[in-house]
Amino acid sequence: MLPKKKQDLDEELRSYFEMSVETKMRAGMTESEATRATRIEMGSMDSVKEAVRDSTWESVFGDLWRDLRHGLRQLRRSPSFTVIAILTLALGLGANTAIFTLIHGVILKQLPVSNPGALYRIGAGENYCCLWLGMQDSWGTFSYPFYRHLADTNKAFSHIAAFSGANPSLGVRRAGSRETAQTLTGEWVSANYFATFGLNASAGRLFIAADDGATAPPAVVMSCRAWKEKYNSDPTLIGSTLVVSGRAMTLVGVAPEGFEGARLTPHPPELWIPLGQEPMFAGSPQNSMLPQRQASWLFLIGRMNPGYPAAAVEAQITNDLRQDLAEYRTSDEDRARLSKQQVRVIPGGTGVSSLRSDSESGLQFLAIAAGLVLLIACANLSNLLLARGVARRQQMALRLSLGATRFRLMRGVLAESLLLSLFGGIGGILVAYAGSGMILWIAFRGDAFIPVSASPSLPVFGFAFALATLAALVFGLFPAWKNTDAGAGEALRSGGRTTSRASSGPQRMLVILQAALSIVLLALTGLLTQSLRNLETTQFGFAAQGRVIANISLDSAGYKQADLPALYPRLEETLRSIPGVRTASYSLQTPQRSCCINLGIQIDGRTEKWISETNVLFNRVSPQYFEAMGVRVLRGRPFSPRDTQAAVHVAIVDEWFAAKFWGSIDEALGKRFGARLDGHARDFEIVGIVNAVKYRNPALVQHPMYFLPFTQSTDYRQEDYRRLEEGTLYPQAIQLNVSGPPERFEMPLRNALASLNPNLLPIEPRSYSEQVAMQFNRERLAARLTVIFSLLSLLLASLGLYGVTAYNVTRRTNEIGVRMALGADRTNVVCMILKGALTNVGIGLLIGIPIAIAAGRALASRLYQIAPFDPLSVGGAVATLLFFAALAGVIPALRAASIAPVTALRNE
Amino acid sequence: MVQGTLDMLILKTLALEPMHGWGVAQRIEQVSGGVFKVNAGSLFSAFLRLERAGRVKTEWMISENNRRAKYYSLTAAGKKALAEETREWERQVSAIARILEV
Repeated sequence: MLPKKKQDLDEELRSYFEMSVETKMRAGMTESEATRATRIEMGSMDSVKEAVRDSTWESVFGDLWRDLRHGLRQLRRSPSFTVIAILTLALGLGANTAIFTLIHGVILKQLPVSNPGALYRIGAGENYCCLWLGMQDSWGTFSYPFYRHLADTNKAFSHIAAFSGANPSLGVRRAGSRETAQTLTGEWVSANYFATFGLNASAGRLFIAADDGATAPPAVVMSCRAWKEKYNSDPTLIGSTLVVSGRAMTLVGVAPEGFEGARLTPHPPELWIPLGQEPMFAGSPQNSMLPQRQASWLFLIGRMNPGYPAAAVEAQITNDLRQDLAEYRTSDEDRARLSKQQVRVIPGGTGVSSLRSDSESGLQFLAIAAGLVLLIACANLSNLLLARGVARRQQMALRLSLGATRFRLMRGVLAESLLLSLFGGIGGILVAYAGSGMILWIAFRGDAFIPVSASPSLPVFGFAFALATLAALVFGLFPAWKNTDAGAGEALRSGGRTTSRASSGPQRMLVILQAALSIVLLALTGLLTQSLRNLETTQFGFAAQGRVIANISLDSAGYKQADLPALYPRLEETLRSIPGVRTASYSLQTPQRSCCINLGIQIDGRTEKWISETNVLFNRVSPQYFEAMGVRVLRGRPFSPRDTQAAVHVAIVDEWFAAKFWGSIDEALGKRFGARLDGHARDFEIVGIVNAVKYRNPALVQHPMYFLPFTQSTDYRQEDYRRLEEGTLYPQAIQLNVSGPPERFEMPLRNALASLNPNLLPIEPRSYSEQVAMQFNRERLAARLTVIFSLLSLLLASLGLYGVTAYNVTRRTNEIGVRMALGADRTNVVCMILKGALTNVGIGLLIGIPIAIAAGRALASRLYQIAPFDPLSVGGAVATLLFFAALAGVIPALRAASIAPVTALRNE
Repeated sequence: MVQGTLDMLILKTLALEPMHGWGVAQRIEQVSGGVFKVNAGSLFSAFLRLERAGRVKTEWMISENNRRAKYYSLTAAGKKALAEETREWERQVSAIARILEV
């Protein structure tokens, strides 16, 4: 109550009191008698005030508060109902909030930079594929000269920052120390990178324009996380000289905390190097990407000045790009595609993220599944509330007849729903926190850094409570309307034993809906789980047991191309000398890890179009590779040390390759092929055929593959081919075939490599089984989540069915009593009740099965080796649902059958 | 006493002249021949309800024996409501009466 009003009431009551006393004295009482009599009449002042206050219509809010208090009392009266309702809601809301946490983290969250809204990305897409392919059509990455041109001429942006798509692994040591090197992920950035994002250093300084020139003293900036985790936030590091992959550079500062670069990735950059330093790392000037016009390797994000329409900026940049391309792309093929080339300018506040585009459809699917769970939960609560309301109908009828409006009563009932929802929402946030943590843990298994945070943030809280409120309206409105029905007289008359079926229609609808939703989820669960099992039991063609693999970066350990021929035998020697290692090998690529290079080839000078259009994969391997990997050589021989540069240049192909181009593996042996370039048609002689190995996710198309030795290289005239050839001479992975648990070999491997070169260290060493399992992180996640979701919905649907059946039994107690008095036996009664329960479920199945089949078809592209209509999963789902439905129906049915007719009739 | 009824009696009482709370309580008690004893809590709750529904308006005045008191008077809406409720009441009463005559 407002203080003014309070005073008013106080004064009014006082004058009322005094008037009452005066009146009584005039009638002949003494003052004390009159006072006492008035007190008795009025009751204590406080209780009068209380009564008045309770009826005060202070404001809608005060009113709501009263409704809520009343609702709370109602809920306290039926604790079991309340607990079930809140649990149901917590699960439903929690599932949705967990998914929203992920969606927010992956898709909506802005970079931790100043004013992200003004940032625009020039270009779209996440791939940086096209170092030597040329036309991208819709461009995502650009060359350095084109970036310079934009930065110098485009007026729409105050800054444009460039950063590299590729992130080199760098070996980092303090100058002059004997410590082993740390591996840090690097990123080339323009000197205005941090300025564009409006960031300040957490220690030291960030880049300034002077850091960018080729002659500038080499400076680097470290990420705050790397500084903390790898150097214990050592302040003496700032300003000191680091040896970065063999080159001395000064660490000028540390980036602000929480800034992990502009790309959402499990491998964020830890060391930023100015673009001007790139040639120094490239080894030779012709290897440097910086001056190349056709090397599109830089992402661009700019800060847009106000007042420039994005469409106009887009048109301008597209035009610039076409002019630029026209200058050096002179082939007819490229010319013809020139008018199709375009650059999009899109909001850049969320950065560049392949995670986003990869997981968008998966997250959508999960959001739908979680939505279904919540719908089922709401349907359930609606049912429970309806049943509860029937019990209170008499009271409602009474209040209606005493002049309460229907709206007023509905408000009270809705307040109760809202309360339930709020508690459910709080529970849901807890569920979501645990749930999204678990989801991220599965999704990023094996990654050092999880780029998405699971902790609930303000938007997540907002979402949870908005959803809770919405849910309350969804499940509360209908029962509230139904239960405050003006058919009040009837309720009064029949004392709550109405035989009317008024509420059974909507309740049946709800049960049918739940059954249909559950069957859809259950069927999808079956499909996804089977698909995952198929993926995990795929025959990859190599032995995953007892194998250790690791990546290495010879480049960042400071090796030049000239050092490699001497290094190869020493590397193998060193690895083989580790105790417990049976075979050791090294290669350019390993199966089941972001693989591989696609190249066009020609076969013995054959010029059919299909040959040049066939994608083949290529790998370089050491002589021991096939043995170490457990790959069988079907024909011919593996590589040997005798395959030197001077000997015949040889290749080994897999059986797919042989079958594709020659029809059989025997035909292929001894044949020749080469790169799709003039003069290279017969470069390689096939000396061996190995069994096919799946190098990529088995759900993707597998391509034929050929292998070359490290000890032979081809001399290409074309610039880009030569650069590629040189790059492939650096082994990037090592494999060990070991006896004993693979996990034990991390330390020995580390020491062995360090003995070869202190800057050489294994990157992400793990067992092969682990690497294969990591391939399916996403599929496993989807399968496990749908299992959880469908179990939830099954649980909820069974609860709901139980509730409705039990309620019906209660309502029909008299009827059952009469039937039994007239000679029906227990079996009849049980059958009657069960028939009612299962009929609804049956109708739900009829509706749900076609939807489940349609959903299976929609998902078919994401499933591995499964027909879109899988009778097993649909049949299994039907059986599961029917079993639980029967269980939920039997309990109340048995209770109905044990009703003694006399009791039932006495209820009258 | 039934809530709806008390509201109606208050309106009926105020239809004659503006009055303060005690006056209304007294009048109802007298006119009903002591049948209705009005409880202060219910009375003031009813006043607040009526005021909020715009059926009565209030103002502080000096009473017949020189005391500051809050006076209640009917608004146009109050008059209309009273007329309607009275009609409704009479309908019900005559219906009950007919039933009782049978």
